[in-house]
Amino acid sequence: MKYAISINGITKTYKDFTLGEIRANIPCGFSTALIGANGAGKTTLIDILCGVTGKTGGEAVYFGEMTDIDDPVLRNRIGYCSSADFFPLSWTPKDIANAMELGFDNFDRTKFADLCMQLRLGDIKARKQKKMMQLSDGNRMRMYLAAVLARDTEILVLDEPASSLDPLARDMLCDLFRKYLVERDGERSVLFSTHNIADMENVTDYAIFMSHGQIIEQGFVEDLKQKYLLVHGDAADADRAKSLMLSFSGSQNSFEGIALAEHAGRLHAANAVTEIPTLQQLSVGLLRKAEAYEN
Amino acid sequence: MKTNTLTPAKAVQIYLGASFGTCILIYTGVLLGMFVPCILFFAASAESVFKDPYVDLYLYVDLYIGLTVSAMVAALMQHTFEKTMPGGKFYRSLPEGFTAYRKMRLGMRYLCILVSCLYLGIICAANMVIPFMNHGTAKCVSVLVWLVHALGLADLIQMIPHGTARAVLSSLVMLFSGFGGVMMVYTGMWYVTVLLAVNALWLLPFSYRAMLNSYRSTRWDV
Amino acid sequence: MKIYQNASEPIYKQIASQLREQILTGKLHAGDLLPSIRVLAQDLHISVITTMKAYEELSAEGLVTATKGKGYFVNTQDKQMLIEQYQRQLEDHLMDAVQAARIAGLGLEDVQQTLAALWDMEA
Repeated sequence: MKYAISINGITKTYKDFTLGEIRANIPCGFSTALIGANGAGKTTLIDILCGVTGKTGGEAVYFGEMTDIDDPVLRNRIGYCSSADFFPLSWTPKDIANAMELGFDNFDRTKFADLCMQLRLGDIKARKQKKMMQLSDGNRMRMYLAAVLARDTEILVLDEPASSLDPLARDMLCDLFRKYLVERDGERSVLFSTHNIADMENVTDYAIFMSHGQIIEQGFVEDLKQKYLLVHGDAADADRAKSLMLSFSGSQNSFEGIALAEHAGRLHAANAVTEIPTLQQLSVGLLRKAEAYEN
Repeated sequence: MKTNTLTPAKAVQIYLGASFGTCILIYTGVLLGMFVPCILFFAASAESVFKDPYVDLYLYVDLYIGLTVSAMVAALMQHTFEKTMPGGKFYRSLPEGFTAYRKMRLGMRYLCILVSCLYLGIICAANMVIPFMNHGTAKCVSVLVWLVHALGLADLIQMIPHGTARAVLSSLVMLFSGFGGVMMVYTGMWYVTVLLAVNALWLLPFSYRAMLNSYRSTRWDV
Repeated sequence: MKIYQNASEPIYKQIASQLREQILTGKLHAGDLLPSIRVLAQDLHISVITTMKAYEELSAEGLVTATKGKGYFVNTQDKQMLIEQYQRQLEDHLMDAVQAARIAGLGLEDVQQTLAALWDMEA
């Protein structure tokens, strides 16, 4: 298994928040989702990996060989994009293209124009161009994505790319990810963060769950779906099932939660129904468990 | 893979969006554009602005020169690349990282100096053709020296942690540089201008390095 | 290939079943190259790990082989051996059915009717 990025013990200490130690391996050739609530540390981790923020300790190894994020050659291989205010508000698409061309080695203007058409941003070669501040959040995000995808990179590292997009645009984003991965079959990877995995499940191969600056679980999605079960049943049986479950949410009539698959037998004996969880259900369960632990 | 490295001019171009040369022309044009109405206003409001007794008017005009250049310089120097500012993260993700920022600051400094030279030079030349200031050449040179020196001071002021204090102080320094440059000629205290010129030789490189080190440890790496 | 996103059967199993059928019925021939895991994922709008798991399952059964750098190829099937394998499975399942029928007090005719109905459903 090749790793696009090996994160070895990265830490970052702020006044009221600590990230780390983060140990994870982003598999090469796949799409990895960094899932967590707001404030979990996803943006901090992504910014550190792309050299936008400094780290307090630890290191990361990129593509199995490079370790210095300030090396221009490495930065040209990474396609980074933040979720809001990535470009100055006064910039037009033409300004973006000019800046990207100056700053990076591998920016393709034609591809940028094509992507803008594809993402319904209009013809960016037109005389009258809109500034970033005149676009909606969703259109701004599409512009950022067009800019980063117009570069020839080996890994996309995107901070909450789907958050400001409508469902149709999210679907387009998933297709763009798949296209990106297919183009250099096995050589390219995607890493994106999200606080809502529901719309991106179908393009997630590897999931890393974060809470309060720590990783609470990670693994390939198919393996996680075999490790955990979605459990639900009637309120009457809640007490018997509760001790076997990792996260528990009960109401007057029923209960639901996540449990380890190895307890399936005993859960069935307690009249509970089990099924394979979706990534969304799994993340709710794992994050709920992490919150309970913190409190 | 060939890697483009930035020159200070290109680093500025990424941020300002227009080529370095274009920026110089635009900023100079803006300053001249602010200056011309001023002259016309004084010409209209005085009997004859080109006569010696109207020294006060000359003074106002001179101060106005200083003010506009200072304001332009202060505005240019306000560009910092905080993570939370729009564009901040894009700039920080550029291949050269902090080096790109360093080159940009150097480029901005060159921009300020070149614009000032061009602007003051044009006013000086205009004055030689149609005199509207006394000792025009001397004043222009003096303001230029004070301004360049003030650039060094401005960088040191950037290291002050308190935001409001920083803003107030740097505005005052810039304002004073225009005023002071002109006053030196009126009071005949030429030697102050010369002293500043000499002082600038070590102050400029020192303040630049100090400011960058401080910025890196307090705002960039944070 | 048709997959149902919202069915209870995991998608990778659906893919594996359909490919298995194609291989065993000869629609896919020995030596055929399967689409790359990423191309298939793109076609079906699913994640790469799902297609990979489907292919891995078929590989574990000996139906396909992964070749480094090229992809998954269909193996020459020892048809006879596979048929015998499935025949044994059939006998085991039918034995379970017979036992269940006895406990429920059902006769041979009931079992045959149920079998006929299920056969029609699957067709």
